Parts: sequence; C-alpha cells; structure tokens
Amino acid sequence: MINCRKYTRYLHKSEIQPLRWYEKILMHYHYTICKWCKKYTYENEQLNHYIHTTIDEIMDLNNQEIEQQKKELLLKLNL
Amino acid sequence: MANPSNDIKTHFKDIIETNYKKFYKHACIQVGCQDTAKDIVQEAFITAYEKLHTFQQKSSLETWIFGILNNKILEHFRNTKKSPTRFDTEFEDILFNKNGSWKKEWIANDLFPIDHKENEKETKKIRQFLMDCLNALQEKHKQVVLLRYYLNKKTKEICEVCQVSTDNVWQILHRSKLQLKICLQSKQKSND
Repeated sequence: MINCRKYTRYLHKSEIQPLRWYEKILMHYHYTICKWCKKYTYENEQLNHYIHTTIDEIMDLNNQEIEQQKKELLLKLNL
Repeated sequence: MANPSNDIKTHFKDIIETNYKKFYKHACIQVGCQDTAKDIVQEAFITAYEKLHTFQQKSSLETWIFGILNNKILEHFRNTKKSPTRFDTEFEDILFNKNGSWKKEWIANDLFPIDHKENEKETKKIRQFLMDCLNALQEKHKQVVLLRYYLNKKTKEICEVCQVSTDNVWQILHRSKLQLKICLQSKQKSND
C-alpha cells in the first residue's frame, strides 16, 4: 500500500520514465481507492494542458518582428 | 574556426528558418524581456555557428543549438545576478499530513476551469496566475517544466539540454508541480 504522497511521486515520475511493474500496481490500486488522488490526477492533467496553452495565449509576439530578427541573424552569419 | 561544409551551412540555415520563433519564445519566457531574449537567441546562434566544427553529432544539431541557448540563458542570470526565488521549503510537508495523506485545505475544487469560451474570464485569470507561478520557480526548474510541458521535449533531450539525470528530471518536475499547486491555490484563495 502506498499513501497519497507516494502516489503523487509515482504520478509525476510516470510522466518522465516508465514505472516498474510493482510501482504501476501500487499506483493503480491507490488510484482506485483514493478519491482525492483521483481528483489530483485530473488536476495534474489540467495543469499540463494549461502550461502548454497558456504561454501561447499570454505571449503576444509580433511575427513581422521575428521575421526581421531572422533576416538580421542570417545577414550576420552571412548565410 | 574551421569552415563548415555547404551541407551543414544549409542545415543550419534551415534550423534558423524553422526554429527561430520557438527558440525566441522559449528565451522570452525564461528571461521575461523580449529585447534581452532577442540578444540571447542571436548570440546563441552565432556561438553555435562559430563552434560548428565542435559539433559531434551525439544529438541532433537542433538539440545542440538549443543546449547552447539554454546555457546562454543561465549565463544571463549569473551575469545579472538575478537571485532566483529559492524555496528550501519541503513542499510535500506543506501538502501532506505526516501519514502521507492530503491535508484537507489543499484538496482543490476545480482548480482549473474547463478551457472553454464560456469560461473565458475565469480561464484568463488562471492563466495569469499560472504565468506568475511559473515565474516564481527556480530557473532550472522552470526550464525543465517548460521543456517538458510547453515544448513537449522527450526526457532524453531534457537531460542533454539541462545536463541532469533522468531521476533529477522527475524529481525537479515533482517539486515544481507541488510548488505550482501551492502557488496557484494560494493566489486563488487570496483572490476570492
């Protein structure tokens, strides 16, 4: 049996590397019995989604300015 | 400087054409200033071009240049002596009871609104909170989080760029995510 603290570690670890077979079983079992960790798992998915979409939404980049920067760089490098 | 072959020059130029915006955006998020980001990205490409003869093809050329960019960003922080917000607090102790269960006050009710037009106002607010919280992470942690969740980089590439082990990567992400949760919920609470 694992607790919620350990569950979150496994959850975050699973996004980076495959878990060992027993870690998967422990995690799955905890998920089925803990409604707070179910909630956190959903929250974590939402966080991933929001990180991915927020930056594009919030950052207002001027495409013309970027094209200009590219030209400037290619000129500096003589490419 | 050895003269790079025409093939590699063409490849380098293609990388500028296709990746400049992505690199620039990454630098903007990291340093928080578009002018500084421009200087850093240009300097990174110039340094990479000058050092092309040292490129050993252990990774892709794009990853190699991206690594140089990340070093330039960290160098910028060292030079400006911007002291990152250091949190020595153990985030797990804030969120969990001694027996490892969630502390009641941190169980959130719909921390994130459904990303939908109807919730535009709410969504906008949480996005701003999230940006503030991302900016409060330590530089290295922010770098890892953005590489993984914004740029969708694979673990191997994150390890190469940030020069950390796989175990370090997930531990950094674990700490960062707990910190983000605490930060977001605290901001929401004080806003209510």
